[in-house]
Amino acid sequence: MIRASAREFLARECPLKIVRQVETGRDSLPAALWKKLANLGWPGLLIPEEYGGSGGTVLDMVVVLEEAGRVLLPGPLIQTVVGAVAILWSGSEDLKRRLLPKIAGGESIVTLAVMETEAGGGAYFRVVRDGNGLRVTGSKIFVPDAAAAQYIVCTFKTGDGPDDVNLLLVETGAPGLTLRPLKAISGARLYEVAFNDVRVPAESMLGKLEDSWGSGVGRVLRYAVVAECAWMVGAAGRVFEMAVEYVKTRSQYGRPIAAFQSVQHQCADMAVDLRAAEYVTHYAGWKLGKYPDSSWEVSVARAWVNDACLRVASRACYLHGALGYSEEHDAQLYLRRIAGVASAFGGTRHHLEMVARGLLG
Amino acid sequence: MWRVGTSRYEEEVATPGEEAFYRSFQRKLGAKGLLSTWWPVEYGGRGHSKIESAILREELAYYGAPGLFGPTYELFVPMMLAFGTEEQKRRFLPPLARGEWIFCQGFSEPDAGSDLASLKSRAVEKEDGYVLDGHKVWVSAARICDWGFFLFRTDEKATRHRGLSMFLVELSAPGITRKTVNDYAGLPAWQEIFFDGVRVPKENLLGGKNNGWQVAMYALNHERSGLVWLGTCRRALDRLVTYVKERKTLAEDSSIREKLAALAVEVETARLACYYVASMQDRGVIPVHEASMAKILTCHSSIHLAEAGLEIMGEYGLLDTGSPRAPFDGGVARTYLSYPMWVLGGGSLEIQKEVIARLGLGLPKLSD
Repeated sequence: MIRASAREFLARECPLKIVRQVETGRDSLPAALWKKLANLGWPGLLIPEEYGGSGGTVLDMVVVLEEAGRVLLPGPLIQTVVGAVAILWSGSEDLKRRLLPKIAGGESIVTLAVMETEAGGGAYFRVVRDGNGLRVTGSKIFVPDAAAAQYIVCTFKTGDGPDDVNLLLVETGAPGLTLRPLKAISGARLYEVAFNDVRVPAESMLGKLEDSWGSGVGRVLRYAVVAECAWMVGAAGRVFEMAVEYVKTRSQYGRPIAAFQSVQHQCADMAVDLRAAEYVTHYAGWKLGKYPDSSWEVSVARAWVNDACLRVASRACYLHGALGYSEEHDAQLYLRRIAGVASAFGGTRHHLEMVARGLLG
Repeated sequence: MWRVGTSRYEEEVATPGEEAFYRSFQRKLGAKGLLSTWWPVEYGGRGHSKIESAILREELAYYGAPGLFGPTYELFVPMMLAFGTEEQKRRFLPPLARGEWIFCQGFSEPDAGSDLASLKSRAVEKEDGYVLDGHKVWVSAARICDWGFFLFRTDEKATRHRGLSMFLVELSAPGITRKTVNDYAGLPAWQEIFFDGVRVPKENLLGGKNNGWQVAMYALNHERSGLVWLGTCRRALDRLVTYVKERKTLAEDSSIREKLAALAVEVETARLACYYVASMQDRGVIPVHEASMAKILTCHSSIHLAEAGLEIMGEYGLLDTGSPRAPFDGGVARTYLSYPMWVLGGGSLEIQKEVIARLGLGLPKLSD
């Protein structure tokens, strides 16, 4: 039900023309489109109704994001949904009551900043107490749609251990915060965000400064990891459909190229990759919703989905011949986007490491 | 070796500044005799062997040097030397040795890609020449080219590959219209070329009437050794190694070490296959399935290198030329975008496998 109405809405409101406009245009997100998403309750999908949200489950999120991926929906929907969860779990009551309804209502857009810019002798991002507030210095990179967002949820290290990490909420308009657009071949609107002694109120820390909230931060990020799996499954599913349609209609040697065994086997390989990606994403989503500390299944899903969906998209473009690599054709939009998402959150390598740790300790 | 910065292959030349640089660099290579090293000396060659020329080719590609455009120097020149009349050789080869003209290749049509022999563009013989009508697509780098060589059907009654002829056409000829088609990196990689009553003199027919297929296949086999892409692969591998060496955690990660080692093995194997093809050419033996094998090995190398670049560099590997923080000025991202077009051009992997299976191993054709 959610899927059918989501699909119908997105087919109408988000043709690929809009995706192309966002890629080449100034704005990272058509404001009118975001408002419509808010009317459907999607930015506030995981926010409880008492705070103005939809009160949805992780599996609801998986379904919605599969459909969003299917049309390459631009904008930080995943980041806003997950950012809201971060605020919900660890923000003060006052912060929650102030911010969550605005996020659900579409007035406040949130993005996530996890990776620190690697420059010179390594990355740094420091948050220190400053009077009755906090002071932030450093630089985050690959922050999606930062220019469209009012808030950024940033991870930061509180110590040297792997669990010594916490979350900070910063307003994009804060003095000392600057955005630098990056240019990625994925077509995603990514930014480097520099924090030059940015002052934020104490309550902007989601959690306490001295506390490490490793487990909490991990849980929040895993929502994003699963959300992106769902998105990739949806996107790969659509470009796979395009490829199957194409090989059925394109004729060479007097017959559709779908009649050739080598083409058939490539399609079969894509179908298997995609089906497994669906299974593993749905399982991870279900598990995460029921057991919030689940992590192994999430990494298993991400490790598979990254590679499988990229294989599917690559193969789908390839089967179109040169058409698959021309600007005009739509298949390449899917390939570039999926390549971008597959590289985020540490990529396959990171998640394989997590899987290995789960096996070997 | 001179450094030329970011690779700008012919298909990527987008601005007038880039085109000016391309042309001037090509002429510099020409002035040094480096565009014609293996040609017979009477046409501007230096009498170098194919292997020596291959070494030069690979190194130029490694440094991203423009100038030795594949269709001109790896397709047109061999075809001309093998099938051209003395007049044709004297007319076309010296300017190419100097780097004055660029030739593009126009074979594919909207309904004739892998099945090239089904092409429909026609050439009708007249008293003073031929009249060409038709439509060619995916003509690489045609935007900056002066001339092209094209397959047209000269015998409507002959089936498939039997009635085809190779024509040399100056792209400024009346009746030709061109439409630039961008690739998915937004670069003007191809053109569609429309022929509407284009007249060419008989002197522009290469290799004899209805012999075009032989001429084309000779050229494609010559091109398939893939040294350009091999040079690019080696550069991609060296960049990855440099990147990893600079980061201790990566350099000590056994999965990365294993991956780089596997990539190096693939590149070395592909390199030997390419040079074997060059050695065959030096011995006067025409490579067929050996060329297809070299192409497959080079393609696999480039596919795996492009993917490894993304995997190891993560999101940094996707940053494009001109982006802040782009490693190697976007070289990794550019390679990732361009390798599929090399895999498809000159015959997809599936076509190469057909050549090996049928012509190399003698396996039977799938019966209709």
